[in-house]
Amino acid sequence: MSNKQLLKIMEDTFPTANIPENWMESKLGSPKEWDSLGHFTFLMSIEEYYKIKFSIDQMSEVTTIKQIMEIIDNSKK
Amino acid sequence: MKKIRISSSSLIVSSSNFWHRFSDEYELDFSEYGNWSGALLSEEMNLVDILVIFSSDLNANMNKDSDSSALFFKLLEGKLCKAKSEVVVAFSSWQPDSLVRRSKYDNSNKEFHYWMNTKLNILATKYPLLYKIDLDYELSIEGLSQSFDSRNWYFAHCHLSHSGLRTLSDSIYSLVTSFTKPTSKVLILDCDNTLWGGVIGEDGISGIQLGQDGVGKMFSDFQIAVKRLSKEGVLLALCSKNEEFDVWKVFDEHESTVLSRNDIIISKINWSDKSKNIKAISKELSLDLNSFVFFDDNPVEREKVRKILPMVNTVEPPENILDWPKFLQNLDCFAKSKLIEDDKNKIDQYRKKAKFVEDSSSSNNEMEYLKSIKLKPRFTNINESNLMRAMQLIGKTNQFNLRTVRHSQSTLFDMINVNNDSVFLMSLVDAYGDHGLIGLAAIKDISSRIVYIDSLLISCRVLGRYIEYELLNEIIRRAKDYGYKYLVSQCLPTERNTPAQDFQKGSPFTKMERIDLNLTSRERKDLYNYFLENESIYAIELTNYQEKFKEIFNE
Repeated sequence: MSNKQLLKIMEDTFPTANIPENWMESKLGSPKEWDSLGHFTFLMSIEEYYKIKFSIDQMSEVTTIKQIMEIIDNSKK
Repeated sequence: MKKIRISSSSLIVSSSNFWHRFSDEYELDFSEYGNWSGALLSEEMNLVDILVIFSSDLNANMNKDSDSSALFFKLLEGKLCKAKSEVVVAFSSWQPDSLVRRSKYDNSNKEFHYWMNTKLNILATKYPLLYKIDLDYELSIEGLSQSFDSRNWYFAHCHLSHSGLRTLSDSIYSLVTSFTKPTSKVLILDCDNTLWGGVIGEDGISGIQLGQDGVGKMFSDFQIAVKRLSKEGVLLALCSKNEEFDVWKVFDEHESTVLSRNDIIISKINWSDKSKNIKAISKELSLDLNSFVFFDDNPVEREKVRKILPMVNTVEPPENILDWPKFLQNLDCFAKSKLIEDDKNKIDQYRKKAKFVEDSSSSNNEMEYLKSIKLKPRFTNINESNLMRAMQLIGKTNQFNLRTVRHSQSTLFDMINVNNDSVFLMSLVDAYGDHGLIGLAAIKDISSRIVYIDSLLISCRVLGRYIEYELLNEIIRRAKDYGYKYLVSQCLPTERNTPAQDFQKGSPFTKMERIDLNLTSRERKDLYNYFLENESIYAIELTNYQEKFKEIFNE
């Protein structure tokens, strides 16, 4: 359930990107629209939706969808 | 679809969760951040330009003489001369700072903010298409510390937090949508539980809530807010399901009513459908329904009017009725800038004038321009009616203040008692309006032939018009009348009075050593009672004095 919402945020943040079937493998730099500015925008949108806050370290370390999902899951516990 | 270009001095997050409100009516375009000059230089004219400026991005030291602040205003004015669509400058200067430090002086960012604001106010008068958003004010409603986020700053050069970005987006939205919406002209009010608490037909005049502590006080305040709108030119109408006799009784007889019968332009007090009544009002006033605002406590009535007359702005009052007075005061629909309303046909005139300013790069043309705005300075001695203003000027003027002597009333009176003409105020009228009392000067004698400037100050909102020279001219006229031969003066430098320091160093002042004053030892001693030894002293010989910039001042 939460995956679908994450996909939606990703699509909203990168409207011109061609997001592949295996979107859960996406990471900073792939799709190419997920660049450093896109990264910040993406994480801000995730924060807004899931009501979480990344630390500045997490912002630079978390660069893949999988890592993002992990943080979202952890925040629910 | 109208296009909006947002340019900013640092990153503004463009994701749709902050900006979705715009998507139905506007096409948003975010310039690469930091590139505000690109937007100001752009020749693309048919879009609304929004410039979001954080003062610390312009210059870290909040120095208004910095190149980037000067460049910003230069480019902005250049843009405004050609602009065909609105230009909005949203600016913020807030930075956390010690309370103790600020207990004596404003800090530099606050001063810078004030300076930006003043500058933008002047430009906004000159160029009707310029609007400003004081972001520090808007952000402070939610809380400044909530609105900024140092993580976002250090990670991505974005000053604002989620909440700050939302406030920014909302402020821009409210302003930009006001450009196209017609100003509301009519406020239609229900009566029972809107203008007073309770039902007049059942509770009677002594039973309704109006004026008493608690909710009654709120209804009085609500009426005050309504009255204020009517004073600003909003037409008031009643639309109430009631007996007319009962309603007028409140207006005529209730001891706490703020609104009177005369405030109401038109009323429909009957039992028929409200939408029908509103239509009738529109017809009788021959005003379009889209300039109507409808305020009713009853959600059923509101829903009906919304359905049948969607062009009427049926406002949704806050659930907590105690917030109603504030809500009414905050309504944007009545608050459209009056200047634009009155001066729509003057836009072209303004544009010509603005073009002229742009063209006047040489000082000759600057003089022509100053002549054209018809500066009329006037002088008046201190009297009871202007004493408070004099004290205010003495207490508050920082930038153009030669010696920053903060006189008390009694030291001021001491001087006046010696010579009634020695302290005086200057007022100014010009093409931009009546600025009121904006300058003050005081002179004291050293000896029968030498007089010195004790105070010379001008409110910063009228600087740039050379009126400081006319204030000096008047000092000299008065000094000559009393037979003095020399005027001496010394600027006491403070962190903030650079304009006064520059004035002191320039013509017509000469360093005292260069003029042969033949000071007696007594005079010399007295002089140094007032003047510092390590600062330059300047002098003017009065007999040969030619009045400065006389040609730009009108009698």
